[in-house]
Amino acid sequence: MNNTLYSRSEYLRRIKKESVLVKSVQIFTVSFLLILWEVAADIGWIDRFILSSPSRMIKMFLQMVTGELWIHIAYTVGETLIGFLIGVAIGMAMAVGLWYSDFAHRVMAPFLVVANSLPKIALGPVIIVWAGAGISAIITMAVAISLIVTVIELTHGFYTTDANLLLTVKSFGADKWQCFQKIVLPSNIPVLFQSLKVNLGLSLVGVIAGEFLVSKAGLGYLIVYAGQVFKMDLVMMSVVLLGGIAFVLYTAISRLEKLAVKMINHI
Amino acid sequence: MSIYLKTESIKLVYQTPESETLAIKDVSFTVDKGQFVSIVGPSGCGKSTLLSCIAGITLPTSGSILLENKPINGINRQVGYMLQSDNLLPWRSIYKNVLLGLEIQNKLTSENIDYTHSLLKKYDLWEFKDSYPSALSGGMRQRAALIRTLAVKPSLLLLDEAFSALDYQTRVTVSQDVYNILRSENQTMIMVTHDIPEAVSMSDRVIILSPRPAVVAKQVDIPFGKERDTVSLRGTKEYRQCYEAVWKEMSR
Repeated sequence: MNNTLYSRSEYLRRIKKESVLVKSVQIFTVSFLLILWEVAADIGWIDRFILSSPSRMIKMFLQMVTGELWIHIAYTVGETLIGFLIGVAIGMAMAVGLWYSDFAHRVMAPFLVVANSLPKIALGPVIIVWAGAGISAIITMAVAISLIVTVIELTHGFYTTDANLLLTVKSFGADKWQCFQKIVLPSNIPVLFQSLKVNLGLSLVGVIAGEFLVSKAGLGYLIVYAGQVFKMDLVMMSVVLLGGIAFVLYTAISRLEKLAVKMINHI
Repeated sequence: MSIYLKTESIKLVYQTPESETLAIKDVSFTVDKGQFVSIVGPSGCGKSTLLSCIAGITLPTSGSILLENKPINGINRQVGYMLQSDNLLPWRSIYKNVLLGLEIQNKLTSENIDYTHSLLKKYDLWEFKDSYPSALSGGMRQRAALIRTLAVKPSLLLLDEAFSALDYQTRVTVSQDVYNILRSENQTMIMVTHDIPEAVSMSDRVIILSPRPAVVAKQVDIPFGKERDTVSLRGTKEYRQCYEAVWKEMSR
């Protein structure tokens, strides 16, 4: 007689079934909302001129996909990635510096808190004057919005590293840089990727805000232009595309995280 | 025997903006080469602080610590320091964990690596070398932590409540394991513990500290020699006598 409640294959089948179920419910929810939207627009519950409808968005997409749409997408994605990378690089460097020097950390702490609560978008006009009315202003905006959060999160993560692990390597005679390399960095990989995910979203916010203020291309530009001429189909389509872009970028970072965890386990 | 470690009138005052606290008043003792000395005392008496002074992590306010006649005034690579929990790095395999000390000290020579291999084999961790710490039992992790410390060949080993994170049964068997390992490597060591049976069954001498501020209240020599079974000796008359001598001093 078999006494085990679940055999290995049963267990695997069960978790597989669960993940299929989660995916199905997700797909069902999205389809349901899209159909509801379409039907509501069709029978006149909502005004399709103001709220558009999935079919009108698709029509708009098909109209533009052979033309300039890709240029707008490329602008927005490119600006976001550049802003993201600059934000991450500067943010990492600052966080490492603030971890390295406790004095600098104490000096900077109140400034960081103030800078974090300041609505960076208010700096828009200043940034345009500094960086010029072009892509550099948009990227600067993305960095301005995402940088401080990255610095605060990473610094906090670095400072709350397990003190006993640090003591262990110090007792072997590790210097500050070795402490960082052997303990602080690897134990903060989850924090790092958490902040990358937040940073990515904020970079996108910064890019769209920048494109609203000053641009000749990009999805933010498209939204502002379409809003002004009441092409709500175009506005809604651009917003949905932004959602898609955010999803793709987020998935890419999640993949990267899995890779990084694997790598850290082999250094 | 020759004096290996000598502490002279160690005094330690903790400073905070609000107050200063005298943690250690005056502690002097010596340890010979190859000797196993335990330090016991009521909780909060400053025994762990004393150990971290010897490790060079905390600097005493006054007094001196001499290791082979050379003063310790900073972290010393000759001194191995083991803490309460095993502190293995969860993202490293056991193998990479035990090499950590050598890696930090830039001593990954083939000779040292061979020595570490031999320790892993001798103490039954070789077949687990590619496992991660989370897959090992508490006792195995503690052994891995010990091998990591021994791999850098410290001339003095400090154990700070090294077994107190383990449950009672594991702790008794692990302490026997560790005892055998350390004795066969002929290690000089100082162990801080709050467990009198552990101190009496493992060491050559027990130093009893007074309540804070700490002074050496008494030293009790333990007569069991190096070849001993730390579990079965707990039934003997000599063990009871030593235990009582320590207990009496501590409960004063």
